[in-house]
Amino acid sequence: MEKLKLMSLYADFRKDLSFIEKELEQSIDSSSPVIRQASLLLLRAGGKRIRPIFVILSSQFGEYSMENVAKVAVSLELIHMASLVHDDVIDDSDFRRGFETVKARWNNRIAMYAGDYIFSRALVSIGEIEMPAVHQLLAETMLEICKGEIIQIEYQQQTNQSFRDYLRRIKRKTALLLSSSCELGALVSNATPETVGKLKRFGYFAGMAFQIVDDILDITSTDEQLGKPAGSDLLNGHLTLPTLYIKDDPEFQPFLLRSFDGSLTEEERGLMLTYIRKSGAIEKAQQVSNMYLKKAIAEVESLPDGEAKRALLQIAAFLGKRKF
Amino acid sequence: MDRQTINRSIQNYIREVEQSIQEPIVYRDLGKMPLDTAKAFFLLLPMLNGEDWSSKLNTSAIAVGAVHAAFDVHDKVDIFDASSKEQQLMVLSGDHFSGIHYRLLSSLPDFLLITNMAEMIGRINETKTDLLMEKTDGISGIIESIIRVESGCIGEFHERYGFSKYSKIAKTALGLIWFVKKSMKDPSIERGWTSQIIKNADVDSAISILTSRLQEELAKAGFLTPFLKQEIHRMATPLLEKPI
Repeated sequence: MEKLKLMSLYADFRKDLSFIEKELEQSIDSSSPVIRQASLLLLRAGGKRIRPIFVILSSQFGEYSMENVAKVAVSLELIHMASLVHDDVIDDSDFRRGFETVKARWNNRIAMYAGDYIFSRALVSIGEIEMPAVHQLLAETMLEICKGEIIQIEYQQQTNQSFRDYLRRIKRKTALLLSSSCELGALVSNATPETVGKLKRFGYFAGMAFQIVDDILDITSTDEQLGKPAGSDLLNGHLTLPTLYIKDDPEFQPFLLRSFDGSLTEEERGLMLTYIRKSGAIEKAQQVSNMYLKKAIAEVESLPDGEAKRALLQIAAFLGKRKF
Repeated sequence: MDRQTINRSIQNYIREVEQSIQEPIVYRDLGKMPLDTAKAFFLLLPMLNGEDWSSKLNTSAIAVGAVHAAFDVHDKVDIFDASSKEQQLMVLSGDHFSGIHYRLLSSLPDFLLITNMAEMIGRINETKTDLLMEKTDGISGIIESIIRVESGCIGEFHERYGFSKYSKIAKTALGLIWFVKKSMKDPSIERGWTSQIIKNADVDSAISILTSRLQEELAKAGFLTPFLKQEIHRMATPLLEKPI
């Protein structure tokens, strides 16, 4: 239902998105049967395609060229996919979006090679765009994302984290790629520097809100809705915004420590999730997400009216209330 | 050019790669990434032979070194359990090194090399997967696979900058060195993709095929200084314990 709602927001750009979807499939049409299966497994598991839609919508504010837009959109979605394959190795995850992960279906090594393959295809796609600024931006984005993940490993199972640490972490983890999706879409369409700046900031603020909601859903959703165990972030040693609010609560601390050392039972996991849900931490985190969404919307409001602006505003509103 | 100058050039290059890919947390927890001196030698072969070597070429060569570092560290990720901090950092450091290679090529910018190198990285990962899953057939398939994995990116670099004549020698020599080390059970070549598919008989045949191929290529390589030809001999003969 939620997915249908999101798709309806994309309605005016369905033709462009389905073209990109075909390009995505073609770009990973590997000669190696295992790599092909692994890549398709990931592609067909779906996803919100937020990055491609942000590229498409941002490019509408300049001289739109489907050819360039598709190359950027395919590249960004492939980079996102490649990072998911490697993240599943790091987190030892067997399921993602309800589907078996590449590492679970085969093994870590195949997941490493499949991720590296998908990443290489991302560069093949964008390599055809001969604009230095595009490549420099994407390269810096990729390195920052990676740096963010390395820092996340440093913070793993550490309770002495601040809100600033968390915000810096999600900026690199999620907001940067969404920000770059908007910026690159605008850049390849030769939008004005002012428009590029607004779209870049829109992507950043929307990305921050998106990740906070993601972290909330990890606690408020069921295992079935998530396609993985609820509370996975804590089980993997990551403190997120809702849990930062109650990390020093004496009743919550035993749950936290047992999550981090891997001794939490299934029953305790249920009790822990209920405790967080009733603590008021979810509402506080939602307020922070709403604050970022307001900032995102403010950036777009001054852009010229049209279908793209309307869609960006609707997607921003959806991101704040989504249930998946 | 003497051996000392060659070694100095290789060490300088390795130092430049190390500096480019350095990441403080990775360096603290995993240490320096060992870089293959034989690969460095063949990558730099045109420069060692006196070809013009601009700063653009040098940056591209460092980018190739970053790709090799990424391959090496990803090959070391445990096949079943990568949940320790060290293993997690191996996954991420490989991604980081890949990002460095892209940043270096973007800084030039060399769009053609970005695309060609990415195509080759993709093919190398397909090849490693097929070797691991034992989907590679016949001795010629195995030889070509090993050559691609060992020298594919060096080949792209040489082709891009008009050094095709060096590319053939580099590919054959690096392939030969791999098989010779395999025959000697050298642990340094046991990577993530090394599977049971490569039998002892295949190793012997591959050594024989690649030895004669390298002999022919060196005989025709009038462009190469006699000293470098000797060096290439030297890199294989101590391993083989007989002259090529």
